[in-house]
Amino acid sequence: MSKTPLNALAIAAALAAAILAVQKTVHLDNLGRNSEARERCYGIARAGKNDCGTPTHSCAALSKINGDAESWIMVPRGLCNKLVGGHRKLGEG
Amino acid sequence: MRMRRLPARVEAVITRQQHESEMLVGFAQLTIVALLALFYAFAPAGYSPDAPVKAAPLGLSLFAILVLLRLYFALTKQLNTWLIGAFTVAEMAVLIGTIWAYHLQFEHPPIIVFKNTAFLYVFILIALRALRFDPAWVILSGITAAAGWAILVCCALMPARGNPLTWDYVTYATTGKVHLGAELDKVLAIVMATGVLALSLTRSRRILEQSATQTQAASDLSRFFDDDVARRITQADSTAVAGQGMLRQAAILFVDLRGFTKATARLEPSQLIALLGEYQRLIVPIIQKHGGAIDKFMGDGILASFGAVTPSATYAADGIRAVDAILAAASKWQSRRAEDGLIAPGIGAGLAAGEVVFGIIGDKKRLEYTVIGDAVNLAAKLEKHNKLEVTLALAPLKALTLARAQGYEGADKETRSQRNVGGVEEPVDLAVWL
Repeated sequence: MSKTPLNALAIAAALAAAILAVQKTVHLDNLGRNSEARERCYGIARAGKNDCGTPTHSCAALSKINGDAESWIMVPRGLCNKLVGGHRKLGEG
Repeated sequence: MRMRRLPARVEAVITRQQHESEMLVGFAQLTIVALLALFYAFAPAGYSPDAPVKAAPLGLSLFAILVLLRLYFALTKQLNTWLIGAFTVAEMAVLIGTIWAYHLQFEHPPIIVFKNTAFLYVFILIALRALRFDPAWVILSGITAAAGWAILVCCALMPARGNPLTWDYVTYATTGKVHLGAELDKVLAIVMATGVLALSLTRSRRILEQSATQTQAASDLSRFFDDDVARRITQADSTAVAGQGMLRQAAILFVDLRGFTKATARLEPSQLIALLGEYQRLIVPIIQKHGGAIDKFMGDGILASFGAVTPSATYAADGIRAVDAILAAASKWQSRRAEDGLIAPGIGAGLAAGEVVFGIIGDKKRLEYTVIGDAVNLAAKLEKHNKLEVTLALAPLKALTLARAQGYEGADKETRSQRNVGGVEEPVDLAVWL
């Protein structure tokens, strides 16, 4: 079969691309952690340092003020309640 | 899988159709991936930059890789049943896996995957499989989706603490709780959509087979008819019926082989038909190239018309040009045959122009079209009259004048005035080809 080397090349290229895609989109270090290891904490992010999504703007680093009650960052679970101004649900605090 | 065995030629048409469909599926998928990637690029991410997984880019790139690999196999014609099946399952697995990965992306318990709108893409994936005329792949895709979703439900519910379920719709809609009825609804919707598509594909498959069979039959049969006539019949608003007649200005051409009757006595039947075939393959394309329609073959005689089947403003010029071309081709053909030591009969032609009736005759079961008129009789008689004039072709001078008026620019012909043509009452002025 003259197609065998070409097939091997195509499959190898596909595998390489798949590995690259996984490497670019998966944080292997963070993957192991429990999905509940971190929690959202509102009201503590410095302006422009928030993670994401509020009712008024849509994404990361768009908050305009320090400690915006609607902007959040991910913190280790249990930490949020210990922080001044920190709250875990939108609308609290 | 099919009950009836189809003729090999029809199978070949369907196989080619399936191959094209496979390409279509691949390119449609790539287009969708590209569109989603574009949306994604402009949409806000909505999760922490150091989230364990970026679900959408991961899913889209793995899907694109699968599609490209399948297109490679399709282009190199290596795609067999097993590969198509494997790719169908793998694509759906990538989608369901991506939906599962959303909970990792948002660092939230897996229970949130049930509210993921990416579920709708399950239907797009199944529908894409319907671009190919094969219900089997839609069914496989649907089964994979339904099973995948069932597994997802189990995997998401298993690690949940407390009771993750609710049977109250409002609680389901406003909290993270899972309504088992809603999940069952989704699986049912997958099954039903798959069923409808599979049914529609089964029907289209049958229509495809019928159409392939009939196209084949039509193309086989169309060789018995003139192209124009076949087109006229297949594109007519109503079925062709006997009794339709149209008055047309047309040129009628008779061509036959000189000394063919004598040759019939000296040739084997197969040699005779071979000679006839060679002669027809020489003449027919020339007539068609000049806009003529072949009305009849009668032994070595060919009756052709210009402007009768399809009206034409240059019928006489077309006819005269065809005569020029036929005589030129015939002289080459004759000398080639003579060189090869074969019988080399000459070719004679008679052309006349005038008003004819073009019509369909016959009964319900067998139809034929015909041209009737003085021009037809005159063309036939002129063709015979060649023998007396010792010419190759004859046409009334009127026809040549008409052809000139219609733009014919060929060489001048010798003219012979007031000739008595057998069977024609009045003497005719003739243009002759020597």
